[in-house]
Amino acid sequence: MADPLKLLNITYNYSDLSGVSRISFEVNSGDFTLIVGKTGAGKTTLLKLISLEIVPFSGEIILEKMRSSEIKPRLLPKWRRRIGIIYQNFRLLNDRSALENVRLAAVCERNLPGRPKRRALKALARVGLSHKVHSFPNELSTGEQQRIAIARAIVNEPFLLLADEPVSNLDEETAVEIIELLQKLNQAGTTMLVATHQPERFTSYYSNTLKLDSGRLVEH
Amino acid sequence: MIIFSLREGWRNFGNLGVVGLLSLASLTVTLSLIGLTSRGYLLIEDWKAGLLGRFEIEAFLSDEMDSTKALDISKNIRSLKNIEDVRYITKQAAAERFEDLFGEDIVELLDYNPLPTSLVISMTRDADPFRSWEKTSQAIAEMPGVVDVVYAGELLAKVSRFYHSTGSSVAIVIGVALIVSVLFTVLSVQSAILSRDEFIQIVTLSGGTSWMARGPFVALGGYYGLVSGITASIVMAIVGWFVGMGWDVDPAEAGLSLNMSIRWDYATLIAAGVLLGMFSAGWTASRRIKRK
Repeated sequence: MADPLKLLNITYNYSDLSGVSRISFEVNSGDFTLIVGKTGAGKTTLLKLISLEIVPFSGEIILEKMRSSEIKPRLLPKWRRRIGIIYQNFRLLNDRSALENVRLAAVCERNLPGRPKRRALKALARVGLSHKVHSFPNELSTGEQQRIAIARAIVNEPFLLLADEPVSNLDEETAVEIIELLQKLNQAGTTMLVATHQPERFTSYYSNTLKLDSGRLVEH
Repeated sequence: MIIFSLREGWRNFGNLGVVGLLSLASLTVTLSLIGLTSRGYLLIEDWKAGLLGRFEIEAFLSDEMDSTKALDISKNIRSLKNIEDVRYITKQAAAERFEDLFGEDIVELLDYNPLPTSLVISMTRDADPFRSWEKTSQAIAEMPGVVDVVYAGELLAKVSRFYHSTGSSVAIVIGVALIVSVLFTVLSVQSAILSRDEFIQIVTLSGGTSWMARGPFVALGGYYGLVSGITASIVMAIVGWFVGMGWDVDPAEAGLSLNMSIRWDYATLIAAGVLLGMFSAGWTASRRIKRK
């Protein structure tokens, strides 16, 4: 499928006027794209715009033929089910086990075959955490927590995975493991859009780089 | 979807805080008040109906009234509102009533019958014991041929005043309790929403529908109502057992029409609690969890 994600002249400003301005790019199916830039360059804002957590002031995002300007609130879930999100701080619920964390995301998508629990177990197996499904996040290492977050992001089989600084909180060894996991998912067909201020950690594997500076796309 | 909401709502219920406990307590008080009042209402209606059944209006007629004229007056009285029955009491029947009441034959005592003929009027049960009775007795007193009208006006007025003032007070107390309990439920659900912000974010960003984000909090309100309803039912049962009141009053026997009567059994009370909790929580969730 050509151009599964397309951003056309996207602008968004926060009250302090930071944000992103006139951003346009395309991501092709199967790409592993890095969004690089310093802290405050607009990387997270861009990911939030793609997931429609915030709505662009102007411009349009096209996701698999769906247009952001035409998306009604009741269709937002449909948009978001096509995207998986990995957060910098994992955003795991500490009062539930790894399985329950992943299952929570799984129940949001009813159109996939298999029961949510089964799909959650499968996703945990894919990230190598089958043996820790009943562990709670605070019983796990940061690397394992990030793996749960990745399992949660892929449980609904999204075509696009957004990762916001997925390795910035991890030590070198764990970061390599997580990057390898992301690469494996990409090789299996998931399109990747990874925001990072440490592109050197990904040198071994990526197809495109988007460089942001003060909310503008300076290199494509 | 419902199972998801119930399961997540139960998880929220498990993390009950101080505000949650206050919500439970206030809902229990409100539901207990509603339950006890409804039972009390039936009891009072029963008592009122029994009391009113013993009272009648008696209209004494002038000496010139014969039975034909008395019958005309009787017809006029029957055309008034809330009249159940009108009985004609002849002079002889009045003397017999006198003898029944006081054990003396007044005709033998005085050599003549001084008692006037009269009409004894009974009112319907739903007639207001103060306004209807007073209005009716005044209307009868103004009819030609009627010399005097007597009824237990003062007592009935007291009954009526007690009935109305108690009713108003109870309604105010229930109204205040209702507002307080809804307020605490709203606060409790609000604090649950704040503490589960991460959950809401995860659900919405994972493609969950708006209902999936709100449902668990509506269910939380339902659990508050359920637990409060059960507790209020227990309170009612205990109060009934202690006071020994006639909890088994039949609305029909209490003189209530089918439309007016509501059988407040425990199931209704619990259902009312669940609905109250769910509506309060649903309102809060729809305001606090914006679709985004």
